Amino acid sequence: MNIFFLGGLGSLLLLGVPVAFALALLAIAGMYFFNGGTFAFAQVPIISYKSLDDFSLTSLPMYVLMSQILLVSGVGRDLYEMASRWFRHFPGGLAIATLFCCAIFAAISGSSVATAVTVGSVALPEMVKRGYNKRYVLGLLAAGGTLGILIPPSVPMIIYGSVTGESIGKLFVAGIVPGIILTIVFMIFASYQTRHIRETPATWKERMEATKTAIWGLLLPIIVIGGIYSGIFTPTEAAAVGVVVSLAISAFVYRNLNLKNIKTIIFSTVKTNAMILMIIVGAMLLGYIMTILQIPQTITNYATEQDISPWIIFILINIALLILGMFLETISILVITLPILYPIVVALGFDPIWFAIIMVINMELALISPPVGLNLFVLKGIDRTNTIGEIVKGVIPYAVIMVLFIVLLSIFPEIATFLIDKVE
Amino acid sequence: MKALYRIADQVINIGAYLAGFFIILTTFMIFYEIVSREFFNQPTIWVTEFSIYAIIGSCFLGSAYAVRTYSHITVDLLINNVNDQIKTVLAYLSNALGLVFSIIFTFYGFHHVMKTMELGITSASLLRIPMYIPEALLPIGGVLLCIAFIMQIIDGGVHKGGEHL
Amino acid sequence: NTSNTAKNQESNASGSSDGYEKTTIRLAYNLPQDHHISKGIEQFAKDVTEKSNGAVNVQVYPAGQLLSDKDMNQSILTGGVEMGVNSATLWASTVPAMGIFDVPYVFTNYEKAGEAINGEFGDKLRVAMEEKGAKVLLFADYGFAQFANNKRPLKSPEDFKGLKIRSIGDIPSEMIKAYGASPVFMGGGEVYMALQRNTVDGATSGTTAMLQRKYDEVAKYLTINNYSYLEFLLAVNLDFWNRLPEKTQALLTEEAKETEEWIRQQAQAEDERTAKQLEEKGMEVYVVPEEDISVWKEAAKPAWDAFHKTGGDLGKELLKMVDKE
Ligand code: NA
Ligand code: NA
Repeated sequence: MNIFFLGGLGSLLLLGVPVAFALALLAIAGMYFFNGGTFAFAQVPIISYKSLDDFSLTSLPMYVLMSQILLVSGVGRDLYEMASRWFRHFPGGLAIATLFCCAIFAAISGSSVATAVTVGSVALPEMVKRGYNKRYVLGLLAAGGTLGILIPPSVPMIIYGSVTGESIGKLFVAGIVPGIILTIVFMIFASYQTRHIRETPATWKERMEATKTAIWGLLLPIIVIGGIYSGIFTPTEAAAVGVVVSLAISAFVYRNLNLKNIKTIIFSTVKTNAMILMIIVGAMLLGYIMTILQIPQTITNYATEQDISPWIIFILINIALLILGMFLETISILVITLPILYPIVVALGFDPIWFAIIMVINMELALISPPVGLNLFVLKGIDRTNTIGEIVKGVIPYAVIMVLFIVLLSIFPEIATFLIDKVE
Repeated sequence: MKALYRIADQVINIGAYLAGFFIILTTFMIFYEIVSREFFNQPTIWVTEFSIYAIIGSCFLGSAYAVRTYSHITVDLLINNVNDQIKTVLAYLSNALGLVFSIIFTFYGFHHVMKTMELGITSASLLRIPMYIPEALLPIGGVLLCIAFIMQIIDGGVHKGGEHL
Repeated sequence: NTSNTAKNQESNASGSSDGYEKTTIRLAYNLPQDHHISKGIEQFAKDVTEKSNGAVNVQVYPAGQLLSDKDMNQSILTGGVEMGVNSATLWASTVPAMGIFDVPYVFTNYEKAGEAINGEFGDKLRVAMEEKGAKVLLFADYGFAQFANNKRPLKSPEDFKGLKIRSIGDIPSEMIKAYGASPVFMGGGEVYMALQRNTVDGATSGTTAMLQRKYDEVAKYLTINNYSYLEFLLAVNLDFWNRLPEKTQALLTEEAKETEEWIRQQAQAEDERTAKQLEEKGMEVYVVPEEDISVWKEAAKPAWDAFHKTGGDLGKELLKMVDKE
């Protein structure tokens, strides 16, 4: 039966069936062969509806909408200009500036794709123009974009919270310090990699001017984060505030919210949104039939009944996630694996909040691992002359850093958890 | 035939417009809820519920448009490494499989809506919305998906998945 | 959906032990595994399987693993699972009269609730459920619902004025409004943080859930006013039930009866234990005295009126029955 699902998914994906429909078709096949034939199809609409019947999911389309608005308005460009004036005299200064922008956008949006698109489309041409090695830049942007889901707000954390019942607020807090540390480590590495490029420092006047222009972009994360932590709105509602503020900036500050731009914004939002939500539906259908057939439960029992060290199991979990991450989209991985992994992790005595952060870093790896890596596709989309192979080569050192970071977090779980106690 | 093809594409576009409208509507409803609750101490009883319905609509009504614009993420490992003939065959095959799902989804979705209507099931909230209304978004979206996959098959062996976002 | 159940039995009828026909029953529930209702249901499943020597195999899907509370009913009615546990509040969206358990101060103590459920009151609800295609195997008492908040001790309905309270379901919301507070709707995962950051001032739930969700960390005051007697049902798909051999039906009925009584005893014990524990963890507890209840009940009248509208004829009839006592 496991062979049926694994082989079935592999073949459907290879045939070129879109991921969402491959998952759903496999679920339907599973229902037909193992759960009473066409009779079981009556559950298809019930489970499809249930997959999206969750208020915390409403933030997802809104984050997609916000990234499209920011992309069309000039907010991203201005922020990048500011960062480059502050950092360009350091070795590999623009690399540092790019990662700074990634962190800022990560703090606004909940998705890595949004972060990579927004920063990538500004930084990629600029850095190549100034003589940065293209492969390094592609790797830096693909990896920097993934910070979007580690630095809160974060869609994977929202999904983790809604599947497991852990507090989404706590999950967000837990992501802050690891997010900042990973950003800094990325900065140090990128700066070292491109250390031969140093530009003349900008004057203080130039820096101040650029900061003033970029003020609206800088305000956005402050409003969103400030609103969440002062309790004015919930993490789910924050997405709506983000959209309204970016719309206002685009309409009144940049004055480029014309009909053509609005149409672009709406249609790209609809496409991306339907793509993501349909994957959730497909994954839920597949998860349903696998649960009915007790596949996750059997694996859970097997893993928890083993008389081996919890850390060995933990390592096995990470390897499994890495492999899944190569082939599947992050939301599907979370939705399919969490019902299995969460009970194991709790039973083994690990902190579920800490594990959420481990899980998110694994999802970051999934975003940059071929053959299915959304951030790889994003960078390919920005400039069609880039090859996936080139992007992958550029991103490998960052993947190594992330794996080492998982090791570090395992030795010092406090990196993720200490702030939660502080905040309370 | 050509006119029918054009109309079909228009219908899918209308679905996309509605999906976009639902997302924007959700944004403003939730923003209204925040303002009303925080500044006027008047939380609403309808925003959470309607937002969920709108988001369900945004997915199922927009999905066909995503099919037509090759926006559903696809693994192109094999597709990019075979000759054009095989590529064409694969395109027909994957679109046919997509159509199979869409037909099952629509047919059983329709029956489900009828059953909900017959049993008179409502939402458990103060609003008591008859559940067949939001549930109807599934078979409607399903019909759009069927149309989209049929059109993909008519278009022939084009396989452009994977590159678009 | 009858064809499948028929097929199931055909293929399963081959072997039998102790005269029990081989059957697999899938049972889903959505409460945490350590809740007393969950424990009762797990025991029920185990006993049925054991007493039939494994012939009647009850396969349990715990803690929302398979279905959430929102899709449970439809899944039972369409045979997606044979059995499921869900709240009366959610069944009210299919059988409106089920909302009676949410009407404030309909039941003021555990014994009265038990008597009503075992008598004519319960029978009428059972019939209404069967008309929709589900048979009630047992009524599982969750316990009383209370209020937690961060503003002040709620010593009378007037103390609710101006508060924002996260509500569950429609009828409690009507009461919250009648007391001058505003009901707020948000996902269960967000309540903890919303209380912590004062996005809402309070929330309503049973003390068992408050303890499990660590409300004591984020809310100061607990008001024990026992305003509604939260009820859960173990329901079975009627078609499936009618096809079961009498012997199996008898076994299930008998075990369900025992489980129902065990859960009812637990409900009271758990309510007392968890309220005490919340107090030990630092919540300031106010218990509304018996003599004040009439005032609280009177002020909640709009919630009764709301149920009059939504509960249908059966709802009105049931309301009369319990109000007389
Ligand atoms: Na983020
Ligand atoms: Na990947």
